[in-house]
Amino acid sequence: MNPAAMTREEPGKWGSLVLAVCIHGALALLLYYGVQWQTRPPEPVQVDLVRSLPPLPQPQVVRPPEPMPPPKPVPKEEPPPLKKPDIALPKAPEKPIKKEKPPVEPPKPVEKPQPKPDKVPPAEPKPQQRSAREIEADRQRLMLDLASDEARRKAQAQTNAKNKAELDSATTQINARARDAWIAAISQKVGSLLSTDIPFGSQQPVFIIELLPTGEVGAVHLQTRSGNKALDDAIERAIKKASPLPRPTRPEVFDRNLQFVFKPRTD
Amino acid sequence: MQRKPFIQRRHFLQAGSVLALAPALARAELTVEISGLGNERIPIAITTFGGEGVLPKPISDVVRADLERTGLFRLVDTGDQPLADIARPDWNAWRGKGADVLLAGSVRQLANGGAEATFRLYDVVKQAEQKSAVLSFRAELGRNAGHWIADRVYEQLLGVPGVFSTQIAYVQKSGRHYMLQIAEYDGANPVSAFTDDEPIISPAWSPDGKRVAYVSFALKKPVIYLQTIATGNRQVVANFKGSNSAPAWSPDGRRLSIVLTKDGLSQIYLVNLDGSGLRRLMQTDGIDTEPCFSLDGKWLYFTSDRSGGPQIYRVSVDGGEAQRVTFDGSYNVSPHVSPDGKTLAYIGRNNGKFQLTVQDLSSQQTLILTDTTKDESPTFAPNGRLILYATEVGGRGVLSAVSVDGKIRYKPLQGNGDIREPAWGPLAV
Repeated sequence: MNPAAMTREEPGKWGSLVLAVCIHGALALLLYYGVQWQTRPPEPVQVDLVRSLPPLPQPQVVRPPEPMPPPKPVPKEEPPPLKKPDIALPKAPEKPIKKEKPPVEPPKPVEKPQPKPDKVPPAEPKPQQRSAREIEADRQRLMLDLASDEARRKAQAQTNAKNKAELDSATTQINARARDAWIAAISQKVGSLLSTDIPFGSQQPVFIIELLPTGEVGAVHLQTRSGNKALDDAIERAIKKASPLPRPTRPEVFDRNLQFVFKPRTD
Repeated sequence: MQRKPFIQRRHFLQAGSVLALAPALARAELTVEISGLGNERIPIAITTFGGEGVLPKPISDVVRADLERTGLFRLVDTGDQPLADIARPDWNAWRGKGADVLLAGSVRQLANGGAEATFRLYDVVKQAEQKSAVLSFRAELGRNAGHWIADRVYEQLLGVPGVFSTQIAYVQKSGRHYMLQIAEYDGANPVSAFTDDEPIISPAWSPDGKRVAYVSFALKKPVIYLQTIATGNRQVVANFKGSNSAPAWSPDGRRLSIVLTKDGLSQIYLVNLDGSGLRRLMQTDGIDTEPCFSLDGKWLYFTSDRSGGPQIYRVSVDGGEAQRVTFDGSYNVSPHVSPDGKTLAYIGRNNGKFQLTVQDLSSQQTLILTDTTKDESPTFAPNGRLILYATEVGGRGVLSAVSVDGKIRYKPLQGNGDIREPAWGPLAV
């Protein structure tokens, strides 16, 4: 602590206060956007700690109303340097004055803590001296990298999905053929055991049968009557006589429950 | 009284099986479509009926012959011994012999000289009785009892009535004599209803099967008669100037369609059974003949040469414009409509052969059923499954039959001499 600074008369108290408020507002905006850019990648950042700042030269501090001496650097470099130090050292009683730029206000202790110290992760101190352009460039690069990674991941996922789909499709086709062959074998066996010339009724008879894994016919249920009981009886006899029914070549297409639909011969 | 608990238990089991299937019904996915039926004949075991030796003709023999003649059944050898207990068949034994169906029965003589036959029809695969009945009859009619049982079995197993108890009429020429014969469906046991030295043609059964209309030349000209079978009484229905021919019964049995030449060429008329109410149906310059009522009695199918060659037409019984029905070939005659009204049988000329042909009346598709050359006079069995027709074998007229799909052809029926003009009677009532 510099006792001389503490006892000295403060010439631009209110002006400095307004300026400080504006700067803090700008800092808040920058934090809001800047933190979002930088929280995602674990990119190393350059940090200048300001814990041991040298004492500021007196004369420069005495003339705050004159913005003449350094007209340019002030507006350009103001936002970035003010961003982090306030956050990194929230309770520093000393004047958090920037290192290389002339202070715009007299060094005085900050009366109140900064409004949002908890919004910024303390583990990631922000660079003090990086310009917005650099940050934007980094962000763009990062975004490109991210996009590239995402594209690679998507491509890989698509390849995997395609391979899986092809495999599934092949398996499905094989199973479909096996299922068709199985159904045809069952149809042939049951149909061959049906007697000739039993007239069809008003409807196509439908039977539900329960099939054991061995191919043997379990329960047989007449779901839809043909309208000719003799035909329904003959079909049930044929189904039971056909037991055991052929089994599929691929066990996975086996279905325990089969629906038999009988249609009149069209020839 | 003893069977009631059994029936109740069976119903309980059926309900249980349905409940057990409920999950299966909910997720049945795979569908097996079976188009049409195979050519497997129904394997049936018909045992000797115990006690049938008291009859002139064993019932079991009649039933076997009836069912086997249809071509739809395959007889399973049962040996000569009747079942000891027809109520308790050995399922495994009959299944082992390859029988799907078992018919067992017994006969006992009654005190009045008659006989009583009991039969039970079993589904061997399902191990369940399908039908049973008791029939009383005069012992000399044992053959009729066999036909009756065969009819029950046929209907139970095919769903359509059997025709084993029906009769046919036909004209037999022996030497100089013409005989109107009434016989069993297979031509057995013919009885002459009318005999004459002059030709007899066109017999037609009344719908109730009690009378036959026919044309006799007894008066040296064709005259239409109506004869009651049981009594032999006959009456003249139409004896107009010229020819009177081709009687056809309306489905209600109240009038006849006939063909007369009293006004010139052959024309179709409607007439009441007593000869009254004569009404000409159409006014044409050609020959219209061989009328046949449709199933509903609203139409008459007939043969006409109005388009040049003979073709089959139909016209409303109220008259009006006739519609041509047959278009295949240049010669189609003798229409006969099936009992269900869906099929038309007729004789068509194909490459010089006159062959029995059928036409689906809805799709117009035709099918030639025979390979003979001189077919005549088709007549449907009353169950619509067979067509009886006359043809020539070795220059002699015979009656033959074929299934409506042409797949089963039957041997010529029994009978001596020259046989023609068949007419299949209605179902026995």
